[in-house]
Amino acid sequence: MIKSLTETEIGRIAADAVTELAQRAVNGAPIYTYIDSCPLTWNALEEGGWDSIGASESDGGGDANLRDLVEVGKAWGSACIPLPLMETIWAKRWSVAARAVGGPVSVSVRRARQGDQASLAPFGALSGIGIARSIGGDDSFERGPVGLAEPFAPSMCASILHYSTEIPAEASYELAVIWAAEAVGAAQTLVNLSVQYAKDREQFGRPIGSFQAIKHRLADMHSDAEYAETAAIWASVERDQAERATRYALDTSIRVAESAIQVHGGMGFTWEMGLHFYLRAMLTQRELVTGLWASTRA
Amino acid sequence: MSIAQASFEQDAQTWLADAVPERWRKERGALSEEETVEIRMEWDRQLHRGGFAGLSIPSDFGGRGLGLREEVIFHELAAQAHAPEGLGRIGKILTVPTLIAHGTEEQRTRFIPAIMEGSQIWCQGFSEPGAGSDLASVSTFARKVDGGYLVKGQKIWTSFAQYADRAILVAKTSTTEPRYKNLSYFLLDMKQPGITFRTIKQLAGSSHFAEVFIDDAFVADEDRVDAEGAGWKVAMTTLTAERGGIEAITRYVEIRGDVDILTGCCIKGSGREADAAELDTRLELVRWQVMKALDFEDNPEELFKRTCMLKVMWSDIWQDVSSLALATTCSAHEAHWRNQYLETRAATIYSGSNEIQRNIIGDRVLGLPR
Repeated sequence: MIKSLTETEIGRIAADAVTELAQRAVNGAPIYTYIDSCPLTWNALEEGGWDSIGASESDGGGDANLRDLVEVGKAWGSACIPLPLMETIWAKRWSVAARAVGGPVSVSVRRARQGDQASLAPFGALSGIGIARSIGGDDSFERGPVGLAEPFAPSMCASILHYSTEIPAEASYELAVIWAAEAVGAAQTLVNLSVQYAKDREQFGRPIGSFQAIKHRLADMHSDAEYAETAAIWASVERDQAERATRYALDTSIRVAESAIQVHGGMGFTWEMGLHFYLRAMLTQRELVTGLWASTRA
Repeated sequence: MSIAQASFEQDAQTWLADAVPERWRKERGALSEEETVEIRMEWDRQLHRGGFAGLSIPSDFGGRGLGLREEVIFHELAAQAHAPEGLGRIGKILTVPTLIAHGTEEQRTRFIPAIMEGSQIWCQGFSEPGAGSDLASVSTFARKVDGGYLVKGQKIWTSFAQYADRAILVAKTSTTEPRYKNLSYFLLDMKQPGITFRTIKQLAGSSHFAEVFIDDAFVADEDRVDAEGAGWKVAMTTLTAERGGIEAITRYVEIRGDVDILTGCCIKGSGREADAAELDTRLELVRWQVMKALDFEDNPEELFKRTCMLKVMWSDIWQDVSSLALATTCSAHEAHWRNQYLETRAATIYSGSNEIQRNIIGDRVLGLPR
């Protein structure tokens, strides 16, 4: 009835490692300066073996479980770096061919919009990407960039395709949890950025974080980020509850991002402050997860 | 889950199936006030005899010495078995952890066993007409006399006052010391001539609270917790327990009962099914949040970061549940929801209003400037 909900060692190690890699690559630069010119090479991730931690040890992987991948997903979502680390970790977990082909791999997901037959491929616009035709079968990959670029979320480098990847239900469930976890990681980062901003920014001769109107909003953001994380963890341990749990995690993370922009005031609305990059990624992740669940039901 | 936990769960289930009084399970709504109180007092004694009192209290202090996990397991099983809630909740949830943190050996030995046995009922003398959210501005005064103090003042919103043997009491002990240093924390004997009370009729029509009038009631030196002037620090321990994980899980099981009525009956055909499903998800997250926090049981700071928002969450959900349910046209449960809707107005106010709770999250967890 009650089990420990913490990650195992590999989850912790991998999450710390990708956080450190990202921080070193970004080196304090503002997000708008690196979002279009990726500061990290795929090789750096591959050399550490971080792209294959989700595969079993016998397949040369790190044996991370889904709960571990929630931790790694949070770390990567928080970094907001335009590389398909989580998609590749997941693909190498499920596909022999993905492990054999090497390099970054992603998928194409049927859009759940009414009247829209197109599919959305995160990182489909990335040069050198392999977009899987299927996962868990006799998988082949189309070399990217493919399709028509969909620039809404720069960190996702997405493109519009006219086919969707065939994904087994269990694998699809895991991918939904992983994308939800990335949104949660971004939400946690936005809470931290907003708290810092509210401590630094002064109006009426006081830091704005001392005003209850701001303080209470930040308290709610902290609570929401906590519940969003809990929802992602819940989704990772109870598959039959995962659709509503991932939906909650994504909706709530998005609410945190909206509040983050509000707390930053006029600055929050600027391109350069860059809060919108996290929000755009979350909105795209929600669209993808909605598409996954719709395909599972179809 | 460990083997020990699995066997604990089985033992608890077996015990509960036998222990819950049939009359409570079947005719609970029809019982008189006296019968209800009698069953709830007896329940505390049953828990003790069965070895299920003070599950997470260290065995040195007369508890079972198990973890918070077992506490959570037991509360959930008790709810499934429709067990009553004991009248001793203030003593168990608030007095015991406070005494473990700040009490003397002598105080622990004198009070904790009696609380565990269910032979002593406690109430909480914190709030006053002029000191609600601003607890530090209480004006009840404890004047030093030979061997103890004479207490004079008034407390309000006191649950269980009419049944209580003792109160945990915050009172001023100095007119010169600055704010936060002028308070002391006492274990006040409620059964003495200096104490009278008047029940307060609340907006829902019932009377769960009372006003307590204290007119030169005596409290001995050995019933002061920690030093004179250290009352604020001690009170903070009590308040943290009051808004923490154990409290949240007892609320979870109460709200679970309401949500089950809502989704199992009232919401059907109302066109508002999605709203009920959303509330069900939010409620389940209270339970998952507590379980996530349990992994940080040994790190108070990390634990607090994950439990500080629970009170706001469950109280909001409870109000939303009754509000949604009242908007349905279910006639079978109309009386229940009218009552719950009115009763739950209190949930966002008691145990520290949600506004104060948000201040605490902002100040203590996020480190925002005051």
